[in-house]
Amino acid sequence: MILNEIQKQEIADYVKSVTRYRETYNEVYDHVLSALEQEAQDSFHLSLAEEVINTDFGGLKQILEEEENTRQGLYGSFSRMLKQEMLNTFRFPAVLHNLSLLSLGLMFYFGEANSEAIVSMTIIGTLIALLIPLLLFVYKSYIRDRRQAKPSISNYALRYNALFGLNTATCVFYLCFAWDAMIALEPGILVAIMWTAYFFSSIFLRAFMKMYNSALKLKLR
Amino acid sequence: MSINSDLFKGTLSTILLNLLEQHGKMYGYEITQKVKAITDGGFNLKEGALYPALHKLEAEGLVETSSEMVDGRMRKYYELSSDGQTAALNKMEEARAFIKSLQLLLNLKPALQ
Repeated sequence: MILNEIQKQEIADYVKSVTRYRETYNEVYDHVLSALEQEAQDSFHLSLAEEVINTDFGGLKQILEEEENTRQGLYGSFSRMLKQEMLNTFRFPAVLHNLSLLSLGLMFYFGEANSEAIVSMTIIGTLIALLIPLLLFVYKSYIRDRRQAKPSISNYALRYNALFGLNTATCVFYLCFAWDAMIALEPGILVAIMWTAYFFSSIFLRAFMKMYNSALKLKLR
Repeated sequence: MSINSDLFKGTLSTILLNLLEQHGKMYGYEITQKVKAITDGGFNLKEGALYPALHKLEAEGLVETSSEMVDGRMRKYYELSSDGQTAALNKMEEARAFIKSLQLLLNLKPALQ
């Protein structure tokens, strides 16, 4: 069957209405069109597309279930990748960056740990490091993909992994630094915790960027 | 004769890995048609079995994907990763051993070497 542009648009609109994510839409649309193009009969009706979806995809419910499974699977694999990249920063040669950062931190800590300027800069540095993944997510989801009709299935996984650092920092803040902090610690220990947060925010940022560049770019098309 | 698809359960990933190993880069609909052609219409990948299996292989890192614009629409291709190539060989070995046992169990005349 040769489909004209109006018929293709009709199929596209239908597939759009039964899928939640761009990747699923592309896959189902391509499959349905490929199947209908092989059909022997000439007369087109949308029920033919519905039939392909029912027989080849197991129906609409099955498509939604599969989207949910893929979404969860991607979240799991991105999280594993992020953790692995974080661990990789402790291997040679990436560990050299960690060591230089650690030396810098120790130098400042034992030198002028209580200097207000250094403490403020460390807090700002930590915040920037934790915000960059989030900004990357916002850029990808709302600026780069603004013309896309559907969101990417990877956005979910990206959002939660991007928020991981900020969520952890918020917990640490409420636990140790807030006015009514749950744990009362001495100023020297608080500075040490802050340096540790700075150190790990750097690890998180580097790991996130590596994960984003190596895997996400391929999956987020 | 159409074969009961339940008989293929558990071997779908082996079938997919083997197909990708033999034919390289393939897309979803192409895989269904290839299976249909090889089995002379005896086995149809229906009822949503194909894509969940492909996505599972992708999540396991055995299959890699790429997208291309074909006839004005985005087409997703699947191909074996380096881990997938090893897995395909192992799965085929497993399948051969299974078929051999099945032949003995059901007292079938050997048709496969």
